[in-house]
Amino acid sequence: MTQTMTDARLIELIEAWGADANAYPESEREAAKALLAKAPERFAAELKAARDMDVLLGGMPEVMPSAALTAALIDSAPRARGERRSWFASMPRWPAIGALASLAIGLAIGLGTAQTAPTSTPEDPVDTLVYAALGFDTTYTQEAAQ
Amino acid sequence: MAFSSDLDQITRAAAGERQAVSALVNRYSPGVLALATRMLGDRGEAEDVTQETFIRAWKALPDWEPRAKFSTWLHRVALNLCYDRLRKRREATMAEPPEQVDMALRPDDALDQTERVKVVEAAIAALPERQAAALTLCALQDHSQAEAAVIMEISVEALESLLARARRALRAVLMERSEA
Repeated sequence: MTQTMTDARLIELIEAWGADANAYPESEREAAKALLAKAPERFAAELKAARDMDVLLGGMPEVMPSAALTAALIDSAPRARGERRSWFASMPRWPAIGALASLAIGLAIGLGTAQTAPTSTPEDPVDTLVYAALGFDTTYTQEAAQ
Repeated sequence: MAFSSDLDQITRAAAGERQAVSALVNRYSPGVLALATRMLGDRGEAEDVTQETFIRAWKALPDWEPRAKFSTWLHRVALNLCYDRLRKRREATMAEPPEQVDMALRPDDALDQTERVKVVEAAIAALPERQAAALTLCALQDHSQAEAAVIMEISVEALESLLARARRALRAVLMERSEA
């Protein structure tokens, strides 16, 4: 069913939806086309302005996601159970193993050295003073210092 | 057709099937990114919005109920994220007004395509947010009137009014610039 189209309503449609009547709401499309066909000169100015805007908007380039964004979007999705994240799965393993081995060796050397190194030196006067203040016999450390 | 195909892909994507995930991303990320880019006028922010939109989508997939088209829902989420960012921007602007963006075309400009695109993009991003959304969804992305109205959660009549105002405002800005 089509409804009666007035000049004012047709101008509203042109201003909102542009110069192409196929873009108008379906219920008013045929009536709008009929009025446009009947008296095109009455709407020439509005059609021209709308057509210019349609061309301008139609010339806008598409915005496409970069490959990096697409990969990030895919990677952010939930994974099937047991499936690894691609960034981790594709990571080389040797650097990680090397880092862990270095850490283990460092710890072993550190602990071994700590067992043999003196925790304080006999010539440390600060220690002697602290021991004396606490009431300990500091003769040994003083002698050792000499 | 696309609706049932969506549902099948959503079900498989929710189960973690990579092919279905890729298909959803490839089908819908360009539209979401384009909407955010036009709304925000900033590619980096638009990419952030796109990522946030899809993260929300992945969370929603297991409980997805096909009451709305996935595409409509996705665009609505993206649009609301854009509104949030624009609101924060306005708050920041009130605290510290930024330098005015010059969208003017100099008289000697031959309006080459690159310049024209920049001017139009800036003019769209400078429109009131709901006008920019209406224009982007209908005139730049070819959503149907009904779908654009659902995305914006307004009636088709309100959409038409926003579109008319957006086109008038855009024309006025561009004419003013080209006459300057």
